[in-house]
Amino acid sequence: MHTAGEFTCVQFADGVYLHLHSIGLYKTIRVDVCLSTPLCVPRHSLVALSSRLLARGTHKLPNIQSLNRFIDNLYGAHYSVQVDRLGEHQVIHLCLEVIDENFLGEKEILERGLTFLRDVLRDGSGFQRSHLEREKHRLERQIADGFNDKLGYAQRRCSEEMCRGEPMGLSPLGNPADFAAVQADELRAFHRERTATDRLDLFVSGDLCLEQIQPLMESLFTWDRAMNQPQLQPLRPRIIGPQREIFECQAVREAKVVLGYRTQVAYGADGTDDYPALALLNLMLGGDGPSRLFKHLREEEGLCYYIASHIEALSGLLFVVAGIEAATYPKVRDKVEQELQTLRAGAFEYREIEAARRLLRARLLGLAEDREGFFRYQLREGLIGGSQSPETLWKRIEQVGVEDLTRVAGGIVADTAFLLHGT
Amino acid sequence: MIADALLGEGVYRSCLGGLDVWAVPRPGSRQKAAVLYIDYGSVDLHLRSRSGQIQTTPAGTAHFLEHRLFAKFYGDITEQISRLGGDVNASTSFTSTIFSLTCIEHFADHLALLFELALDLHVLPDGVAQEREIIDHELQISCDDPEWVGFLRGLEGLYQNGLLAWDMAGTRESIEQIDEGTLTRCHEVFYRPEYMGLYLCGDFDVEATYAAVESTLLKYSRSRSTWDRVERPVVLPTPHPLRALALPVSRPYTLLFFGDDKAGRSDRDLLLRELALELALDIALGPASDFFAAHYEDGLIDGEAFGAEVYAEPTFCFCTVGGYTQQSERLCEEIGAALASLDERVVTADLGRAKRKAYGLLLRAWEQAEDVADMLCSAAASGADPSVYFDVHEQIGVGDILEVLESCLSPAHQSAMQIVPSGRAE
Repeated sequence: MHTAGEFTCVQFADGVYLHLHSIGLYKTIRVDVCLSTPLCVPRHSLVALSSRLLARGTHKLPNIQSLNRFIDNLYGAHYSVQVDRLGEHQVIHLCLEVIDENFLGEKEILERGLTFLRDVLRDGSGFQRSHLEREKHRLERQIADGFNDKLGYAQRRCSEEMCRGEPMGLSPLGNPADFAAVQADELRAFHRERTATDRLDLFVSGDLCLEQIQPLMESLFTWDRAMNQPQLQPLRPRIIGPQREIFECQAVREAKVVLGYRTQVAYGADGTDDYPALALLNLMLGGDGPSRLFKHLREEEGLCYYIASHIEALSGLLFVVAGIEAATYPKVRDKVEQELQTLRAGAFEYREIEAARRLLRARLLGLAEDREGFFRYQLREGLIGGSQSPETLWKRIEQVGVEDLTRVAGGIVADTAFLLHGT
Repeated sequence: MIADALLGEGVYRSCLGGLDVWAVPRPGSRQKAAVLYIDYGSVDLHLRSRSGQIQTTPAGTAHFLEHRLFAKFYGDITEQISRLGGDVNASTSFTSTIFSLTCIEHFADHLALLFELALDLHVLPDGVAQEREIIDHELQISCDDPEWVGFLRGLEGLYQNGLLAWDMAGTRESIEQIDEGTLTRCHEVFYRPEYMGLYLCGDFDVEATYAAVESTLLKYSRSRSTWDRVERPVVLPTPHPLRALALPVSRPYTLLFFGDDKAGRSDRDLLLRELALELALDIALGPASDFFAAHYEDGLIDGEAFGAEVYAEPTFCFCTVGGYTQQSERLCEEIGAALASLDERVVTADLGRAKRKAYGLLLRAWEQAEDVADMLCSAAASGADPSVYFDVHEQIGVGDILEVLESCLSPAHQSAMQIVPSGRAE
């Protein structure tokens, strides 16, 4: 197996980390700048609105048109500002991908791009009253548009109901009810403070070495820092109430069901958690094509076209998502529970475990050449203060035995079921 | 075997037992990707017998077959592929069926499974009945996706009730008519090396891989069917007005469809046409345009919920523009006005920027192994070499852009599709 590049992480200021993935494979250089904070009320609304104002421009590029022309002139660079969630963190994520100068007749493309990213993050010129009012409306509309993707909508509603009062129940897009009270000056000061105190991760991947990139990054991303962001509490054991079922009616043809479960597993920095067993269990249950749910509920029973499971590693949640006929809901719910029951009882086939293991191996070792996946993996590590490489995680997965799988399956408890059904 | 260099990488092309094979070897890369392309899509309903008799197969047969091929006598072939650590996906479009594979190890074994997936058909009546149920679910899911419903509806406006306006998966009624016989016959007709292509990228030995592909193909060789495919006709737009659809959406969704009067091109001409349309739409309506600046500020459009797409193939070509908006009518008028105001002066002044942007997009489509395999496949489906994308980019000029404004992006070639909220039940 070839080594797919080299990964280095250096801290160059309090809470500021440069992560470099030196890899000769690409023709572009990708930079991801992430400003992360624990998800909490009502900060999450302020963070979401800030992200929108960052997208409004810089002092050098004071409007959308000049900004977009600048990006196009960097040879179709890809640029985006998003606010996202990773576990219980809310992340403002700036992403820029520029062509490697070796493929262009022009120089300083990367430097111009990085200076632009720094300006977006720091100069605050988008925090104007008129912009803020427009962006409030825009963000409200974006939140409302979430209604159009029915499966996504059902997933969000399930998390919201299941995790009410917990960070996982909050939307990274904020709560429109908070928006009216927010003022531009207050928001500018809030964002300014965050850039000084919140964790800042700078990811660079491409055909570069540390000596080339570190001085440039340090000169651009150094300012007075004082790390005092609210720390995340370690995952508390939740008080699990009685299982709940929530039904919502809309004019949909096919019902969407989301079943939420709590696992007792928290992905941790010290590498002693049960995540490797949970990852394997998820793959066997519904994390991939030939999983149990797919085989038994779709192929054998024809109960659905789509059924899958996924885990939220940082918060220890497991979800099963399916598109079904509303009338079959009780049957689907019970069948899924039955599948879980066989896992809890330790009924595993050797072949099944090995297939899941090989799939995870390919995914983990393939990560080095999956830019988005690798970035997300490293950001997750950064946020929990870990430094486990995909290869190390794979070694832990190799060690998982049937007793580990049975123990972890035993800790999976049904929590909230959400059904979006037609009239 | 021809080896050509593109962006510093060798592009190999060969014909193995009738199969068109393209490869970009990438030493040192972990990811390997393969795309197996079948020139058979949802519009290919007709078969011709040697005596000239025409048979029409039910809508959705290509898609049904794509699904059914996963079922082997021992179970789902995905399991075999997963067991080796690979990922496989399949999709059916208007004009193609595509099986794509990514893996990091055991490339030769994976390729053998990819061919088994596509070429070894096992249809049993039980399986067909079960598949029908699954596809029926899939059709129901599509009905809940307003953007997909809007896409097909717009094509209905542009091409009347032609094959391009039908869901690739068929209809509830048409899938009822698909049986073992249909599937077997269509498989015999379309899944033949001369109607297929294989596109590869990753760290592998080209000669050894080719040898393996050749011997695998021999294993599945069979005599010609007494039926053959019928050439696809070129489809030209015949736009007509549409009534608005009511669906459960947060706000109106509007798409303008523009059909190309000069469809029916291939190779360089097709790629030039595609790029000219993309540049014209970018100059008139893209994020750097005056249109975008004005209407982002006045709230008519949102950056995330507004966009344009070009669909250019040898037998049809159309574009879509639009998205979610509060004011459907006004959006249509403003898009029309922006396209109408594009003249030689505006295009000349902005072409440099638009071409730089397009160059970046082109280069970024040649990054990860699976992107490269996809791009080889798209080029081949257009009847071109991937280097033609770059040639065309270099050569395109103001005249090409003004031409597409005339023969495609004008009111005479346009159909407007609107979805309005049907009210929310909560």
